[in-house]
Amino acid sequence: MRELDAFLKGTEKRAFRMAQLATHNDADAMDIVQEAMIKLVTHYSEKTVEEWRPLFFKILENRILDWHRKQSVMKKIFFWRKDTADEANQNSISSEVEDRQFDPQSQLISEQIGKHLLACIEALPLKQQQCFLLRSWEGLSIKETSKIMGINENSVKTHYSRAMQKLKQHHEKLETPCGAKNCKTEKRQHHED
Amino acid sequence: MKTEQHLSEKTTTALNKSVETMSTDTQDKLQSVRREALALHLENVKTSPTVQHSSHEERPSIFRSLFTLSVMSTGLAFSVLAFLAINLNQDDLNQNNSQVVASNSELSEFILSDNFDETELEVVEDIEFAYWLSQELKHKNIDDALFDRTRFDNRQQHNG
Repeated sequence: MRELDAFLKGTEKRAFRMAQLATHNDADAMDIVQEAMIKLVTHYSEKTVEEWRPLFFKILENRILDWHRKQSVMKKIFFWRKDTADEANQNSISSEVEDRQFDPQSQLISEQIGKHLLACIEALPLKQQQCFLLRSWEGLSIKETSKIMGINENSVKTHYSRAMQKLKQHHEKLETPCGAKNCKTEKRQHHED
Repeated sequence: MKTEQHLSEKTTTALNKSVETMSTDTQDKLQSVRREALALHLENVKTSPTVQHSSHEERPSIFRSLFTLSVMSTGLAFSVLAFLAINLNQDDLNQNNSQVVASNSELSEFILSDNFDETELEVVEDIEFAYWLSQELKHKNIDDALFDRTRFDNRQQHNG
């Protein structure tokens, strides 16, 4: 019981962040995390501690996928409604980071780049995003990631590679002065200034 | 690769930072969610002996329902129907065999009258054997019939 509590305590924030990046909505992300916790606790509490981590992320991934499927169905049925994702973006990570800019220490350039990288991750397609997070952030192997996401290992490599390419492109744009490599007119203006 | 590794590290750092700087409101909500899940687990554990007992009680009743008279009678009726269907099918097959092979003697004449190559002859012989076997099985046990192939071959050789 204590081990379970310790495991959930150590994982809940990261799980919430993953769900938030996928859903762009705090409330839905919280629901997803709650469902995943309940399922793990109810059905898999007797498993070993080593098994909890991949199981929990598998449950989390399934919940996220279910949420997305439900959203796509709802969009088709209620096509006249405004896209709630645009409204939910107010709850996105970038805005949460902005709220913390009152702290002078958070004014570093790397923080800004970090904020933009997070926004870029948030904008990735779902499978690329989740694949990147599981591989890069959680440090799971290709095999573990493929089992969690329910896709084959080649698909994991493809999704991860595409996610990295997009992040790389975005990062390069951030690091160049005008944000575009071939932007000659803007470069001239910079020089003139 | 170095660029990718560097980028991956930067992204991981950014994600870790975002987790560390999570708002207290969100952290409190996560804590309450975790406690609710664990409380639910504790509740299940406490009631588990009775739950298991009730489920154990349910199991024999489920099996018991499978062996009710109506289910048994339905199953028996289906098995009888299946048995009859198989028998009828065998009779049909035998009739077909008799249609295909009008009689053993007629088939022999047909084989002798025409020029068959070896493969065609084998097929015809197999049909002949099948017909002969079906006739034998009507009166004999199937185990004996499996050994009758050799007897049939011997007979063919003797007649040939």
